[in-house]
Amino acid sequence: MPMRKKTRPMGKVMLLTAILALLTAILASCGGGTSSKDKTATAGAGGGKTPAAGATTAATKAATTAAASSGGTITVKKGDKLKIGISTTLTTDNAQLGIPIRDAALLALKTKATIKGFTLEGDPQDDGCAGPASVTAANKLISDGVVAVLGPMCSGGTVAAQDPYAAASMLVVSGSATAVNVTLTSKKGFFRVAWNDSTQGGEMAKYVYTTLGKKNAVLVNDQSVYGKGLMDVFKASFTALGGKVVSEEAVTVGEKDFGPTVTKIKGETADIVVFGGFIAEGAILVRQLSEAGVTATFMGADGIADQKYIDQAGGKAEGSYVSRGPKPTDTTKYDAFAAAYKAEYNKEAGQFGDYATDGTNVILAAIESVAAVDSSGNLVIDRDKLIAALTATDYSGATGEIKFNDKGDRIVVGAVNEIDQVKGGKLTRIQ
Amino acid sequence: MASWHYLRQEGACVQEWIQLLIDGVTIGGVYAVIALGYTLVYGVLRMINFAHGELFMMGAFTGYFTLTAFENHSNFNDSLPVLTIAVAIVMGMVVAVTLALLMERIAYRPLRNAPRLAPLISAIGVSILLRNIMLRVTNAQGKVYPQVFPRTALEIGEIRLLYVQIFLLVLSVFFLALLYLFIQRTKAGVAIRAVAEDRNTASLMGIDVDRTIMTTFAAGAALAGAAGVVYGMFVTTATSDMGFIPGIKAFTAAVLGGIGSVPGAMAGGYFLGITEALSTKFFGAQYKDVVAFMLLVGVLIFRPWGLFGKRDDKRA
Repeated sequence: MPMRKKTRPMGKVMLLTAILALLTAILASCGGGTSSKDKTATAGAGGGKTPAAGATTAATKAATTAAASSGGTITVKKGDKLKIGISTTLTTDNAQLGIPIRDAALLALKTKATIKGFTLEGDPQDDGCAGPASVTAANKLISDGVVAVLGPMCSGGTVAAQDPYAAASMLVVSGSATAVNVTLTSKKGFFRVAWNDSTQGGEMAKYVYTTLGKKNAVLVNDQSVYGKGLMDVFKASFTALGGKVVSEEAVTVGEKDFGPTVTKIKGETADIVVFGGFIAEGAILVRQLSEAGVTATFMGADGIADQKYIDQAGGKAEGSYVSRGPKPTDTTKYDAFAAAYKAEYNKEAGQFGDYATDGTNVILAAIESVAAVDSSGNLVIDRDKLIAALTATDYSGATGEIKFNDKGDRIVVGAVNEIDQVKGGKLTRIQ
Repeated sequence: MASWHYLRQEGACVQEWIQLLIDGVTIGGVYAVIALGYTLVYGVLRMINFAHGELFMMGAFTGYFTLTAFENHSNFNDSLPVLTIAVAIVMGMVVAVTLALLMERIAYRPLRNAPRLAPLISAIGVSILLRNIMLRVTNAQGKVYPQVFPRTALEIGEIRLLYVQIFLLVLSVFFLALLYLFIQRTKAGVAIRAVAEDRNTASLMGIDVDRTIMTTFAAGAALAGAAGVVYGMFVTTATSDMGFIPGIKAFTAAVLGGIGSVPGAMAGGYFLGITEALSTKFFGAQYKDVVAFMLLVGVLIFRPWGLFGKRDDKRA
């Protein structure tokens, strides 16, 4: 490194300039009374605009080409097990949502036991709730020779893994990928029993505006495809109803102290804070908001709909609202599932357990309807026929009536968006 | 004075800024305490101990397990909270120091004369190992601290400070001062500085290099362990991945301040914390890391040796 003698004094001048600039900026932002708040609100809103839709368009072509070609057949040799892949999150904080998914799917396989004499076996793979890990899990499952896949768990991972699955003509049913962009374009072999966030986000906005009567909202997302997507739909519906989004904030997954974000929200005039994200961040956010003296109502969605949200918030989640997505009006089948799960694992099924069991069951029903035993005793399944069988699904399960549209999304039949409120430390259904 | 009148008019807004600064200093103090561990180890070994953030995480879990044990088997948490908190902090330090000495002996010492990348990879390995052990132990469930420290707040106008936050603030300053005195005033501190200056010469002068390196690891780990416990009490949760982000941030703070420099790590930590808080206000939290890292790049372009580091013409 060449010597530069003047660097030191220059450094001091620069440091001084930087400090002065910072002070000026602080004072400038405080000037002009209320207008400063508007400025910050717009800055936040502008910053938040990152349409996730763009990501999927490039991939569309590959999928369409794949859809045109024939999917071929899969043969399970006599005496071998019929494997179903389970792509879910088994590590990191999100494993608290992912492990019940795996367990519910394994329970469904255990209950069904065999198809045409072939023993069912689950093949759980960790999809890390993120793109790269979900693609790795997809490739592993494809090479393992699974017949169909339940998963991936998270929307971001699903969008990334859809192409390898489509190229392999794999039947994929996710029970928890809820983001809008997952089904923006039709992907060969992809279905979800989870509800599209556009359904839930719209219902949440309606509930907040009409039932709760809140007109000024701060939206907070965790920068995930799910959280951001849900908040975008909420914003569109809420604004269309006449509500005002005063500011859009974000938190970073894995952080534990949201002090500056909370301080910023405290400075806004909002009567509700709506959160799109998962348990760990949701619990911290509701607690820190309450401890900072923010009186606005707090509402989250299915990503935090779990007793752990209440436990981790240390008593500060009381009174907050949780949207759980459309739920069947008749809960007999759900209760039966919850009881069976509890009997097997001695714990609650969690937010997505019922979706995982329904997802597994529609896969199994489809396999049963198209699988044929050939002359040498092997089980032969035509992949295209399998996908066609799923398209025609008309199944009544723990999460209600399941029918799919041509994009693989569920059609709302006999369901209402469930809203819970935290009362006495428990999630209590109020709608 | 006109500006004073202006400030009073804008009192609420200025209070929000003060609150933001306090938020920044709170997390900045945590970064500073962790950053010291990076900078000390770098000073003597010229290696980045990427598992250092995990010592912080282990401290937080030790605090959780200690306080939960007190909660379940005694009523000391209610009758003598000062005692249980002190025990939890000491336990956090002991566990972190033990782990640090183990990792130094098992993962780093055999690689001391290996190429510089080898101990780095080894450190990343230790970090992944510790994180996954805790994931396994906790069954991937976030652990919630029992409420030992009352969660009441000091209120001055719009400014609201939880007492536990004040405790965290004061304690981080206390630990920073303690470490500074340790490095400057004690014999072991002199040895650490000597080894940092020139390991071979220090060895020729009769300094036990192995022992000094262990002292360095222990000092950094004790701070990280204690910080983990108090931070855990502040945020009330402990998760297996909680060391990752503070670890990365503290490393950034250490580089910002000049890696190897003790005052640099402290200043870097506070600087980074405050920058994050202010950029949350200006640009939104989704951009705070972008701002922080752009600042880092900016500083490194003009002062590659960091804010407080010594320029090192030999190595550069």
